[in-house]
Amino acid sequence: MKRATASLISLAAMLLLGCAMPEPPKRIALLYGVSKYNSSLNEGVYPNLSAPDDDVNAMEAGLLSKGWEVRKKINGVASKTQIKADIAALAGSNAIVLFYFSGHGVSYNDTAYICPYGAIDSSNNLLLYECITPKELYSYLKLAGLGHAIIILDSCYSGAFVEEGPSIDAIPPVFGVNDKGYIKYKLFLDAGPEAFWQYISYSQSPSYVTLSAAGSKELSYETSSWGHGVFTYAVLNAMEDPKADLDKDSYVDSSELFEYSRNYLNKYWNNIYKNNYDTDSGQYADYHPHLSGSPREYALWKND
Amino acid sequence: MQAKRFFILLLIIFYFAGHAVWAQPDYSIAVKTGLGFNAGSTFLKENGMGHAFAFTKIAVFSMTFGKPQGFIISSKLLWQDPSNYTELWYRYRGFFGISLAGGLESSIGPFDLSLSAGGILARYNLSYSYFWFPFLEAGLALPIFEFGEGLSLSGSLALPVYLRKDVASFAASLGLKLEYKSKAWRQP
Repeated sequence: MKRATASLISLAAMLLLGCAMPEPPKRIALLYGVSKYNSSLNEGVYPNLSAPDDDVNAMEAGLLSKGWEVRKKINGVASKTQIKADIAALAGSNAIVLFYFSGHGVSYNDTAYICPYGAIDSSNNLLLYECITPKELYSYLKLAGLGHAIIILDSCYSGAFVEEGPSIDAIPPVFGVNDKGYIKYKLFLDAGPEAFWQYISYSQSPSYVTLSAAGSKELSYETSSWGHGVFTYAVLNAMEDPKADLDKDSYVDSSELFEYSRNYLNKYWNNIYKNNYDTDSGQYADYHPHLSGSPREYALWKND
Repeated sequence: MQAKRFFILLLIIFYFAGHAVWAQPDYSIAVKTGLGFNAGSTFLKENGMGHAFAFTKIAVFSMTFGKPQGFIISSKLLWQDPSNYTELWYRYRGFFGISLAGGLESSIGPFDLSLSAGGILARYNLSYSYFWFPFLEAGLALPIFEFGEGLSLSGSLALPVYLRKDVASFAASLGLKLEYKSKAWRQP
């Protein structure tokens, strides 16, 4: 009887140990923000933005408090060459890498780009060769042999960086009632045919987990009242809000961060600005974050 | 909500299918209807990544036509929790899925053995990402209690292999199944 009890206790202990959270791995955040594309102009004057440098500083403070090692580059030093070099310098590391970018994003000939410093010259011309495509960003990470990366992008058209993999993303590239951008399937089963063909046709799983502020064909916004990019502000709030831990396991993971930020954005931005029409883009100002179809999700921080 | 609608639709389909069979004057077709619940563990491993286990709960509705060898159709509602975390603080995402499968069932002694194939439409938790994958499943059921009038309770074991392209995955689950056997089934 004693032996049976001891066996049961050791089995229970093994199961509990199996469920325990492992020690924190090495986590490195590469943060890039470009507010000043044109140094002769003030922040907020086109093509300059107001929020990205503040976004990066706030992300740095938040992530440092959550145990991340942070390497940040703002404005003049956040160039394509620097980003490439920073990622390459991580070669051989077995760390989890968080790549964050806040700044302009563009879409040209159905290819999306993020625009680091140097992507806009002093005459305000866009230099596409100084921008970074999804393919380039993923190739930098792969060339460095990084197996575990979380990419967070607060820029226009950033949804193009989100890989669906074997899944179908039901959030449209342009979201919003006024833009007729509805969540794709009214009923669960409506997704069946497309999901089936996606299974048949896809060949490669998403390498990395990507969260984008907006869809592949829509703008993202910054607001002076919050002092940040809207999406980044939601992410920063998730770092402070215990409710971001939706499954109450004491850790906030990438899927929870997506769910929290999309709810935040819908509640505090889309509800207010969904009827604001932007004449330049021809779209209304509401937008929706996207999350890649990777089968993995990463614990980003322990809730305090 | 969607799951509820799907389940109601299935009940209607199964009701009419069952009614058509039971309405036969000579009760010539043996039918067994089952409603069950399983729980178990799912193994997951992505290529080049670590492995992990996830807790899985499954509600099953099935109909078997013919004995001792028959054709079985079944539908499941499946809830797979996120897996345990691995060393590098990642885990495999949980999802909700609905499956439809068909296969063969055979009664050998007191056991009902089944082999079926089907597909699962799923959606990752906390997302709008839908995906589909096929699966193969071996099942075993053993009656453990007879209520009379064809109603019985069986213990069940299910061993599915999920043919996901991104993740190698298989599972084992145990459960209970309430079964109703038609008059033709009960005839010797």
